[in-house]
Amino acid sequence: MNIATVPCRTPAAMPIGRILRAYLTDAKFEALRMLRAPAFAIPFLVIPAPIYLLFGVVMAGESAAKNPGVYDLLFVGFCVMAVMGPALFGVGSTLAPERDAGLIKLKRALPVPAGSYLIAKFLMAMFFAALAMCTMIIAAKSAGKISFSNLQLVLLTLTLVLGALPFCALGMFIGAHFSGGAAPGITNLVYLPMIYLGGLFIPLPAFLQKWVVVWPAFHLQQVAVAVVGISKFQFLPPQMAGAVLVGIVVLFGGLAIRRLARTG
Amino acid sequence: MASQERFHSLDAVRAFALLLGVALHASMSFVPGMLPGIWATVDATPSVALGQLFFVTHIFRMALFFVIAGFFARLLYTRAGAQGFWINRIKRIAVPLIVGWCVLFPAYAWVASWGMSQFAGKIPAALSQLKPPPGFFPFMHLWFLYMLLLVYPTVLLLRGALVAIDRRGAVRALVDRSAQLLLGTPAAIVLAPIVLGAPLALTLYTRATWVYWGGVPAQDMTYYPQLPAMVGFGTAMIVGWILHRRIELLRTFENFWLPHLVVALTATLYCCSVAGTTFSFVPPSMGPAKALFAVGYVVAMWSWIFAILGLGLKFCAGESRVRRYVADSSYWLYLAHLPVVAAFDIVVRTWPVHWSVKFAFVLAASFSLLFASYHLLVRPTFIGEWLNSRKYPRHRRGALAARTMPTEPANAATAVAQLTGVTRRYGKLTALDDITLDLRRGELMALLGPNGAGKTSAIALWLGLAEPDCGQATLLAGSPLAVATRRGIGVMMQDVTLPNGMKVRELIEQTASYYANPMSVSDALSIARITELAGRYYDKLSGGQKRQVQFALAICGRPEVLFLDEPSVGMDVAAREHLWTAIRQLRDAGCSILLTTHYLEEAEMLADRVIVLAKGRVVASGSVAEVRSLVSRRQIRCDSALPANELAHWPGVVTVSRADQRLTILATDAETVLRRLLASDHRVANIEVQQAGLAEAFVELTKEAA
Repeated sequence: MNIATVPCRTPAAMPIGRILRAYLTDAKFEALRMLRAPAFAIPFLVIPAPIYLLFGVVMAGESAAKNPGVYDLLFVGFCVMAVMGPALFGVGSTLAPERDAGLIKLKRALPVPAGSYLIAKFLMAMFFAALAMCTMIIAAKSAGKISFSNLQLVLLTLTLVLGALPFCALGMFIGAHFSGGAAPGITNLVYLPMIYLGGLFIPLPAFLQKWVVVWPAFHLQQVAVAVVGISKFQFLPPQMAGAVLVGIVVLFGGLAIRRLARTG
Repeated sequence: MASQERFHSLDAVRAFALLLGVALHASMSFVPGMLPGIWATVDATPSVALGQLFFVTHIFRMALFFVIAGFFARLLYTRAGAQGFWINRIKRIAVPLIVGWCVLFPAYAWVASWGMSQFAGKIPAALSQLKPPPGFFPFMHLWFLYMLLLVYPTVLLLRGALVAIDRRGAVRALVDRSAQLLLGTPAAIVLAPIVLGAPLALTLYTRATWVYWGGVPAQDMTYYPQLPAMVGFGTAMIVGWILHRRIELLRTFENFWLPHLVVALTATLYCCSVAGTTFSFVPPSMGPAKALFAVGYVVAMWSWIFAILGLGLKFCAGESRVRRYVADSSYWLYLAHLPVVAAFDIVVRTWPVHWSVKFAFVLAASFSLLFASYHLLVRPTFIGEWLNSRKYPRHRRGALAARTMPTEPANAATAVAQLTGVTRRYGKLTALDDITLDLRRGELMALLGPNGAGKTSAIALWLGLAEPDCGQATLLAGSPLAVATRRGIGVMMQDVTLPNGMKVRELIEQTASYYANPMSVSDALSIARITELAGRYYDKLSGGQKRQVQFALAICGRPEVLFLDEPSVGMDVAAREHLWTAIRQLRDAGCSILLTTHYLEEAEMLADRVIVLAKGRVVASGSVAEVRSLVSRRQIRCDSALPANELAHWPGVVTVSRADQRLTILATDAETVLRRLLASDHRVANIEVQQAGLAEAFVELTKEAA
């Protein structure tokens, strides 16, 4: 090429189409590189379905057979677990080391469209959540224990893909506040207790039942339960659970953005 | 302490009083003994602790607000005059009262009816049959605005009358002296709360319907002025007004905040013990007990006011961005909070968890929502301008750009990046000290300096990664903080690890997508001479290859200005040669380039101009030859048997080194050293004398600066 044509004398205005393309390019490559990372893709895409089949179908036992709603509830609980993982780990555990590595600083110096770096991570997490839901639905349909119609499954998928956002915000908060070494550990400290204490699928002792409301997973499960209409297991009004999830996005997302804006 | 600093602290105290009001209302549903119908809901888990928080906060919060209001009222009055004062008050108090009520009353009424629907049949008959007072108007929490509008004219009328009567100023001098005696001496600790509180104590005592838990009866249900509120808050405003007249009195509060706090806590403890832990709606009978309580109540009120003013003055005196933001937002937050807080109180009412979790949730949720609404709907809009007399543009970066951009850069025609009088500090370390630098169009400028000289800080300012503490940073005649400006730059930073799992081609495609008119991926690969690396994963490349990829990323947007921070670190000789060639070609094509490097030969080979930094200051600037000539050193090389350590002691010799027979002498006075050398060693041979290189000049210049 003729190098004399390289520099552009004045920074040209960026058409809106190109700005949107920049957002999409960031999201595409974020998803692509996470798909290429076996340590991320396998636990969050391949593992949830077998776990569901083992604990939510095979080991659910007679009590579930007598109580038809339980199979549905277990499926919803495992689906919540499946979407939580990529959101929490995909955002938090990648953000922290990239922050350590100076990548955010580079992105701030480059003319990256506002928020594109974080939006890409959120979209990636939602993409993974959608893939995980597909594997869960295939597994559940094969096992034949759920009573949902196809429309209900589509609605559930949409809800849970959107429901990944509060966990993205939590992950972002962790990634913005902890080092790359500490973030995966801290994320596990949030993720693992939340699966159990959020009351997703294991019956909790009475004294812990009161405290399920502090776990975002419980609120997402309650919204999901409302969407598929298992009213027997509706403990909170879905609007309230939804409001809590929105609050989590605002609070943790806001705190993380504030931290990132200050320290990069 | 400068008076301006004091205003920051008073701003903070006002914000504290307002935000405390949000917490006060949030706690109302948890107060033991609270009846349905007083507040939007009554929680299923009452809390003695929150009941006491409510009771104690209620003692002083609004009076504290009125003291500050009085202080700022006089400030405004003296600055803007009577007309300006009223125009401002109409805009900031009357209009928010009217508009706010029209919006908030329906909202709160709706929320309250939702809350009360859960208490159907449980509302006490006495409460539902209560007759509205004469002049009934449900001001809700906005009564304080109405109160201000009642108290301002009263205070100004009093002032006007005083000025009319007291033409010689004798009465005002007496007021000042009394204020000095009462508030400016240690007497303030015990005497002032009693004296200032006496009128209120008297009105409270004589009011037959006064209930201990109700505090100073609010002006929230009627537009007829209520005596206790007028007396209590009127006194508070007058005290604030006098404090602005005699601003030095504030120092007393600053010094005596602890004794005031002790008195406040003691009096509060007494009041709490009398009032009990349950909200009582039964008025006490007249008698010494009621009188004593009224005195205790006003002593607690004024002692809290003095203690909090003192704490604010002592600990919140300086300017803080966070406090400023909160202070700006507090007015909106307080205006808008009531329906929000009430709604969340209703939401948590039956949650089967401890009250502390519910209360924390109500506060967190309300404040999140209110701050978000402030940030998005108020701060950047006309509402913020209306409420706080200031509008902040939505994008902080843009705002700063407008604020820090010069109207016309001094040499805008030639400079593409400028730092003008810039100081940048990191804690106690001054990284850049009043520095002025410019990168001219089409030149390659090398920025040199030892570690910690300020090179990276200078680049960070140009890239918008940091903001100057003083001075201006300009990039392409705009602000480095604006994305649009940065579309004209390319950057290769030190110590950046690009994400794993991406191929070189993909990285370039991604970076190119940020620019309006980028080059193709294959062109970027070809200029950086890494076409063969296109399909390889970045994280599998060697250190030198990674730097080559980063160079391709820096140029792929066809930048007008290129920042290269230590570009050739880790490259082998061939790669470095290629890099230099590409850099020269870019420069020749009109790209302006800023290069920092530790390889001085790199700067010597490439730079049109060299800037040497040391300790955050420019110690030398000019072409390579000019900088070299700043140092009057020359290098003498010769074959000689003279011992190097002996030569090192000769006058004019800086350093001596020997390699076999060959001596290398760096000298400040080369002629004298040469003469002595020829005299001392007749067999000296192969003498070469040359001007010191950039490396020697650099060492000398930066050593002098140290």
